[in-house]
Amino acid sequence: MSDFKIRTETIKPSKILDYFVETKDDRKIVDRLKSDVPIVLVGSRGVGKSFLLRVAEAELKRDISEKNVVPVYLSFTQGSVLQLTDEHDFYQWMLAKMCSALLRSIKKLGISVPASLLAEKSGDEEDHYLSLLISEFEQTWKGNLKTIDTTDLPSIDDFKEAIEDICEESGIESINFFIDEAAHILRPSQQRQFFSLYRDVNSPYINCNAAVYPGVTSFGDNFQPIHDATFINLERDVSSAGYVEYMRNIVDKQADSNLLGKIAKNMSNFSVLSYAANGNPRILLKTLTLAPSVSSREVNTVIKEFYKSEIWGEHTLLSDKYSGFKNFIDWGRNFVEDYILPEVKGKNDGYLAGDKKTSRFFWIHRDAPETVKKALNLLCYTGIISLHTDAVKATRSEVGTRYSLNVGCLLSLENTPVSTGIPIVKNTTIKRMSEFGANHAAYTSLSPEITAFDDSIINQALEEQLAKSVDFLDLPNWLIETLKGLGLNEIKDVLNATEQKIQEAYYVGKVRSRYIKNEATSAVFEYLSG
Amino acid sequence: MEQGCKEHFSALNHKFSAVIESSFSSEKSPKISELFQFIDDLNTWHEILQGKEDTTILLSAIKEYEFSFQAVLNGQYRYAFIAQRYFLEQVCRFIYLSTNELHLRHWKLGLRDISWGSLVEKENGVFSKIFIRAFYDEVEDEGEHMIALSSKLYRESSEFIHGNFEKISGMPDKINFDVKLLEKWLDFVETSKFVALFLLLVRFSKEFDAEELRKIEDMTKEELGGIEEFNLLFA
Repeated sequence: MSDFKIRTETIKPSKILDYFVETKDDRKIVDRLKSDVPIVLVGSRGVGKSFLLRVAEAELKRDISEKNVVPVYLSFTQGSVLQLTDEHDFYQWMLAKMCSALLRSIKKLGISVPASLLAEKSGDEEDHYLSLLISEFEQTWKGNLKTIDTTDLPSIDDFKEAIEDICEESGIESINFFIDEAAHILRPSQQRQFFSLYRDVNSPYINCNAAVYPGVTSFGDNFQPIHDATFINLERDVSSAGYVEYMRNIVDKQADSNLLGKIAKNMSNFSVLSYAANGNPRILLKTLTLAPSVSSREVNTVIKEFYKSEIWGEHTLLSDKYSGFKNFIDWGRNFVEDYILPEVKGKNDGYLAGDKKTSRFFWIHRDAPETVKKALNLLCYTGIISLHTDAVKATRSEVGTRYSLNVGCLLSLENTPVSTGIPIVKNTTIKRMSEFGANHAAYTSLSPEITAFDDSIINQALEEQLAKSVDFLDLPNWLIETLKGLGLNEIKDVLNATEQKIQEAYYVGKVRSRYIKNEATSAVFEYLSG
Repeated sequence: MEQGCKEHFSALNHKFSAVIESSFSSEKSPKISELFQFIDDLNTWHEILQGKEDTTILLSAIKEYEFSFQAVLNGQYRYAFIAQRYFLEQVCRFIYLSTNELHLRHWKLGLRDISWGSLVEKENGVFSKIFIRAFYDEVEDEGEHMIALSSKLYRESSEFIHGNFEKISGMPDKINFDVKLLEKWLDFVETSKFVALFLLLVRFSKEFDAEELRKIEDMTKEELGGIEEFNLLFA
């Protein structure tokens, strides 16, 4: 049985290039990430944003002596647990994280730091101060709201000047930041602060790149998307030439010989599974583990079950976690399942019977209610739909947005996806789309109590999440039982626990307790971040 | 002394019988039989090719395939993996040397060998684009995947032969039936069979007349029907 690494976080950064399957498009993205142009990479969960950031980082590290560009990778995933009294504190937390990550990266590369980031402190004091400060921010979920003293943190201008000094004195061309999980999908205030920092920090010596989810749209007053960054949508078009080959190459890197043999023998079934994954390597690997013989029976079953229920799990989980947004989330699912999918499926049946081009697109009028657009953004985030093109003219020259449906969801309605899947995908044209006008009847059922995503709702939701059982965490059973055995029954207990506490368990020493603490904490962030 | 030795091996023989019994009583029995039938298919290939090619290495591969079954059904799992891997190697060697008579003659004289690495080498090996293009260009894009597959198969098999403590320590000390090892070996044999047929088809099938194609039609459709370009042979 192949043991896939389905998350970039589980691949050692030093091994990342071994897993890289290079396409022309990916090469272009990686080269741009390594350049001096600030990039914002946009893509739904699992499409490979983190992976490409890590590839760019690894290549810059490899070529450091030649290019002299220092890569600094960091993730803002812990932003999901911050409960800050002042919106600006988030800015300070990010700045502290960037300072800390920069110092660590420079040291790892063996570059001596001639200038100090924190003027009054020595190297060790800097590290100590930053880690304490970051930890203080990241403990705010405990609710002990107080003002965090950040007076020793450099201002953004001091930070930029310090980096300029470091670069000039060490012969470094520039510092390229790669910021992952840059802005929480449901926290507009964090999004505003992030883009404000993003705009402020870029300089001739600093190039800031970030990965965000689709639907992150609150840029604040200072950041102008057109001028301040280049946005790249990370989409792998299933209709593009070489798509299946690309997905197969990804699997070649990870699968064992037996699975590779099964794929070679059942290429047509594998193609359908790849199309269904809708350009998402993580989903392809997940579904392959469910269909290890790649037989028609298995692939049909997996497509019908996974894309009818499991893929919605992540979307529905959002509504469990953020009950304040339940209306948006549930309406989105109903809209896709009750209106879009049946309509597109019905039309495709007719098109295929008449040997005509097929569709997987729909169009929403630009004057559709904002609440509808917010609900659609959440569907983009989980990859159920994707924004295909803005400002598209439809019937009677009305203008709106074209979205594409997740191919797997579309194929899950077929009786035998392995038979009809390929004709549906190969005959798709963007010219055919189901249109939903400004006042479509489906919109009336969306009447949420709140019309905007608000931090107070997030904070309330966070408290609910932290009080949930550790059973909700994506951890092996033995680990959950270990935690419970120690009286760490709720998610907040795990976040709170020290390594010493974990060492109270049988046979758990220092190394193992750190492992357990790390695993448990990352599972908590994973759960809370989306 | 002589009698004691004989008794020792007679006792072993009983153990072999027990493993055979257990193997065919297990849920893997149909798979064992199915894969064993491949010897008939290989003999069909030999029958077609003898007289046209030097089939010394193909014959050795067939013997190795058969021996692998003997070993696994006697509970000699490590030797089963050795034979399965050698079968894979010999098929690749047969295909490679069938295109180079001088090298083949040198190999037979023991003057020159060819390593596994060279056989599956990306630029010039049996799965390289230029090799496949010369004989069956319609499937040249499969080459890269076959390199990945064969290299992994060779490496995974090797783990059961030497070098991987975890796998070696999993081998039974005595002659006993082990369904997990049997299952793993069957996986490897199944994949080896696929690789062998792929190579034989690529290298020789386009030179076959109608009667020869008829002989390999069923096995090809069954094993390689998923690669559409091979179906063109029988259109």
